[in-house]
Amino acid sequence: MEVFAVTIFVSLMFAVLFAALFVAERSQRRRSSLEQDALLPFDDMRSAPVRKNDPTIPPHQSPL
Amino acid sequence: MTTKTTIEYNDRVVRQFMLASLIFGVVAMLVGVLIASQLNFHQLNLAEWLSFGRLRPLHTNAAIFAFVGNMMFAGVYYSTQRLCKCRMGSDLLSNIHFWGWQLIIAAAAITLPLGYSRGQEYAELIWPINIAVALIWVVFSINFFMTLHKRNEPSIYVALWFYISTIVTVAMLYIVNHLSLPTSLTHSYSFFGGVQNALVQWWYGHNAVAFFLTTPILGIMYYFLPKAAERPVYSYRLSIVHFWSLVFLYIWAGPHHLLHTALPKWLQLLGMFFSLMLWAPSWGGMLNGLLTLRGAWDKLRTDPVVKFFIAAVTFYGMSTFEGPLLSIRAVNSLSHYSDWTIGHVHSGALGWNGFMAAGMFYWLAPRLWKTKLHSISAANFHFWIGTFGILLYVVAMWISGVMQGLMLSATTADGSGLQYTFLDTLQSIRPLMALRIIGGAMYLVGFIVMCWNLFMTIRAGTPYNETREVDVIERGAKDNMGWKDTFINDPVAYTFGALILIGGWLFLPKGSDVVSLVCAVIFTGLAIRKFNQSSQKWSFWYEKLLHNYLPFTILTFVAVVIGGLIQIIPTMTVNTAKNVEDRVQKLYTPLELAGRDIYVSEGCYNCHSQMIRTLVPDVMRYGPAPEQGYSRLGESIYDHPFQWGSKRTGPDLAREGGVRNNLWHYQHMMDPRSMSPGSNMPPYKHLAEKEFDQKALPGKIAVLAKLGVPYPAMEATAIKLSALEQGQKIATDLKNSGVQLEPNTELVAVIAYLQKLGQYEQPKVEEDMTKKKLGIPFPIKPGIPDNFRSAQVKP
Repeated sequence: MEVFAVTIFVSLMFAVLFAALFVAERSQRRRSSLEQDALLPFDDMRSAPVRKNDPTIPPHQSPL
Repeated sequence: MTTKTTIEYNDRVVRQFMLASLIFGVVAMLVGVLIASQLNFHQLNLAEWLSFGRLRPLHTNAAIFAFVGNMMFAGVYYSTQRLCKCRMGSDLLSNIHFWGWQLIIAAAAITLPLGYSRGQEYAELIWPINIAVALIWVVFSINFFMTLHKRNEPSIYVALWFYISTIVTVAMLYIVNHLSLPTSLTHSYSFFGGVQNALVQWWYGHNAVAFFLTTPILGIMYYFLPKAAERPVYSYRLSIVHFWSLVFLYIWAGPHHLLHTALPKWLQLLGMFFSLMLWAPSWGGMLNGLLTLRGAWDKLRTDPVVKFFIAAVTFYGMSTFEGPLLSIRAVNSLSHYSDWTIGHVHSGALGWNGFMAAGMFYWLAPRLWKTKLHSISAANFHFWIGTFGILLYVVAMWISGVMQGLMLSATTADGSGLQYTFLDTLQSIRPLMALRIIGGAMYLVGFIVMCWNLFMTIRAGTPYNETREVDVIERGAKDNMGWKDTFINDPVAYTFGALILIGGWLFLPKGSDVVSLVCAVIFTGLAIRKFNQSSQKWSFWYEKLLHNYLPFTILTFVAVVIGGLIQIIPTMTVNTAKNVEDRVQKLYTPLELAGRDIYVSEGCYNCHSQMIRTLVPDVMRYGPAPEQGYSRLGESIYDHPFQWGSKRTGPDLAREGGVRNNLWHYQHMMDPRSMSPGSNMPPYKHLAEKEFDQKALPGKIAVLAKLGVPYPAMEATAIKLSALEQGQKIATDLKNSGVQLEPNTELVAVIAYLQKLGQYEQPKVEEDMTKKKLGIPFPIKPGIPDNFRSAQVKP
């Protein structure tokens, strides 16, 4: 019975936490600029590579 | 006006690490398939250095440190340079790191099969290699932080957060768990003994999984998955929550490896609850990875890189669901010491680590050698054979673990006896162990196909170092945060305030703990209100933190160190004798100590536990007398290292002493199946031919005495003489049974050790014990009633 109680308790906590965070997220008007950092891995696609070894395949094109 | 500079990335070191990972991946998996086969076919224990006990540490160390380690370094070096828009801090350090790491692996590959071992899982390497690991890790750290320092991108991307947490935490864990006093160039004893050793070891062992096999690979996921999917990570905000909650929670969960032992219950519950809580951030990370593919799910059909990454993230989700499940005490009573755990770790290692490695290598190779991938069909073949291999392996281990766990717990109808012998259960899981061999071999075939595919790719291309023109960022645009800005602010103050109050709830005496909990709830409410009022300010602070690598690193270190201290400090500082529960282990004689060191060296702990859990079936099976009950902490207090084990391929040996006679042990060690028909234990005939190391004994006893084991002062000659006299007694006993064995052989020493297991003294009163030197003091329970001690079987 101890396991069921723990499982139900933890699940309920998660459900409540989810609902609270969801409501908080929905009610927020302004988006943070932090999300812009998610584009950092793509910075090298904005600039062409320097001609040194002259790659036959540009990095933004899949070599597969 | 911005200044531009041209950067040539050091991709040579990335190629080196990648190739090393591929080579050692094959070695690790080949050894894995071999030892899996040995469990079903004992004849495959071809020589003493090829026996299961010695090869299993080689398998685990090769898989973790050689395969995943090299893969992780390849990913870190590649992505860090791109994310920092600069070349690595130092080419010299990069080279030292690469070659130093390979030398360490070579040293491990030689010493482990030769039987040089510290006897703790994933921490077997001997002390000179430990020092080398620490030094090379420092070289890696300096190189990494030098790169962060000179970066041309102000903001530190999420992948780098995970790398930072890996670097600081692995250093802390590795150094603490490997603290040892050497007795020779190849041998040492851990600073910690018994329960302390168990706690520190699993604090390390669990977090080796967390911070060596998980956080760096999550960093790799956050960089390479968006690149492969050609879209940014699903939610950067979620990655913030994912990172901080994961690094904070992971470090607490170690005691879930010690459930149902005599460890104080508060520590067991701490481990269990933090393991359950880990489920949330882990799945947050998994969902962040999976949803990165939004709008591009068609790539799953066409792109093998995406296929591997998505399957890997799915396996990560499965493992991180299974981990908390196995940490629930009721589930753990069934799963622990069984193949279920083996299945769990392999779904993580093969599914998460192995497939992330494959995805990354397929993505990297064409770019690092400026060509196209040789064969997409072969990559797809690798994916499918690997996936089915893992599933076959994992499902076989689930069934095996559950079945053996149930059989070991099954009692007769009237409940007075056990229904199956240990050997009965072993025979029942043999078909499943055979399926495991097939699953593992399928995975290995897929991996070898990948090696061939990449080899053909490399052959068609030429090594290529990417060169880019980047903007040099202005001075002051990064790393400009002072100590005050870092620590004196609302986010830090509210977080630490809440943590202190929650700590009060856990550790304060009854009454005050409830007050502390109420305060924690109120304080958290205030923090949420404050956040709502000034969320922009909080966001701005975090953005600023991301522009400052040193404050970020310090806060990460603080987050991981809190859990570590709470778990470790009580065991160091609180002196109480009551946790030995009226039993104190009898000291090993010199011969028994020699035998113990041989037991450790042969890796017997890989198959035999020495811990009778607080569970009725355990007590009934291994008692041996029911009234002796479960293993008290005091029964292994002087064990450096502890040998509680984590898997029972053979039965528990905690109280093996005196249960069988010397002749039985001799015959069992020479030919296990002559005494235990159907056993899969390797024979240890070589122990009957080699002499134990008498000369080393005085030094070893002196070191143990320094570590707190209360050996009386003894002359070196008396120690050696004592060993020989005890050996002679055993040899004479065997001679009377018609067996000729020299008294100075390793086999005699091992028999002496096995016959000592489970012997303890019972001090009269607690006051006597507080006067007696007990080595390093014991943990106590700080409040929660310990109500599980009733697992005593009535005689």
